[in-house]
Amino acid sequence: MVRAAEGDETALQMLVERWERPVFAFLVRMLGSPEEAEDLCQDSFMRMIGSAGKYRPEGKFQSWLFRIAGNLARSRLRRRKILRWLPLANGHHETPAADPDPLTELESGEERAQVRAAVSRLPERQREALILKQYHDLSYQEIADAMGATVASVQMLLHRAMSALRKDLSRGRSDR
Amino acid sequence: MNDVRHPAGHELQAYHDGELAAEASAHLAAHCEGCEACRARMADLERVDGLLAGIDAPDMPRSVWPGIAVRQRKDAGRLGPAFGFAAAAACAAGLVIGILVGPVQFSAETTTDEVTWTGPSSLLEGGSGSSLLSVYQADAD
Repeated sequence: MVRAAEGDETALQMLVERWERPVFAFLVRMLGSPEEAEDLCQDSFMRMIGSAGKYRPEGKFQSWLFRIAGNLARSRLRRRKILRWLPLANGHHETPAADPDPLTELESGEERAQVRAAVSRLPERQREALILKQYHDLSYQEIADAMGATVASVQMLLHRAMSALRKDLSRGRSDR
Repeated sequence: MNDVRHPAGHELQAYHDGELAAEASAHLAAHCEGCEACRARMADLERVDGLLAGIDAPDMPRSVWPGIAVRQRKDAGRLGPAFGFAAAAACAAGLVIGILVGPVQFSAETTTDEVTWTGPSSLLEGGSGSSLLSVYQADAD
């Protein structure tokens, strides 16, 4: 990262190619759309380059990168909410963003589709903490660093996320 | 049961995730050994964990590096290699400012010094306007 920040393009390429898949996977799970995830993945690295001067080598790079990607994902989700509730002017009607997310449609197994939908219904911060723990194997401290939160709040977020999923999935099964 | 107080949900979660200190972890393990209700709660966590593990993210369609390299070289070429990283941030800031303050009209006949500013006049005072315009103009190139 230090070499990349100094303008070494080869180092930057290695850095991007090392981390693009985890960042993409994180974003696609946060947003539910591979297309948006790809866009924001590129934006995350551009923002990383732009903020290279703020990077401190003693901090964990992964947490820093996920923090950048997480900020972008949250602002994209906020924008989606605004667009969904924005009054439509001049008689112009747009189809609101599909909900649940498009990934659900691609899912073949019913159970997996239900789990994916249940995750997408979690509040943003619960979802973010869960994804970082479950799929990126970050410790509570690393999640806290990535989310700008405390370890105690990460612990609560994860507990609430798992409780909500358990209830949601139990309800789904009893409805069948 | 070894302990009359059941652990709170977040404590059980931290135990499940291996995030408790050794002493607290041993205490909770001992409690669970003798408490059917807490073993059931742990089993619930395991079950949800298992369901989550079965969810893959789709494969990345292509590397984002070529797009980043193009954007990088474009920025670096404009301002010199030493400013490569700063250029990306400056362009983004210029775009945001341009969107926020409204359009600046450029005429084909006018020179750089004669551009017509249609944004708020306060932004042109104290010399800040010229740098603002130059950023905007750099983005328009």
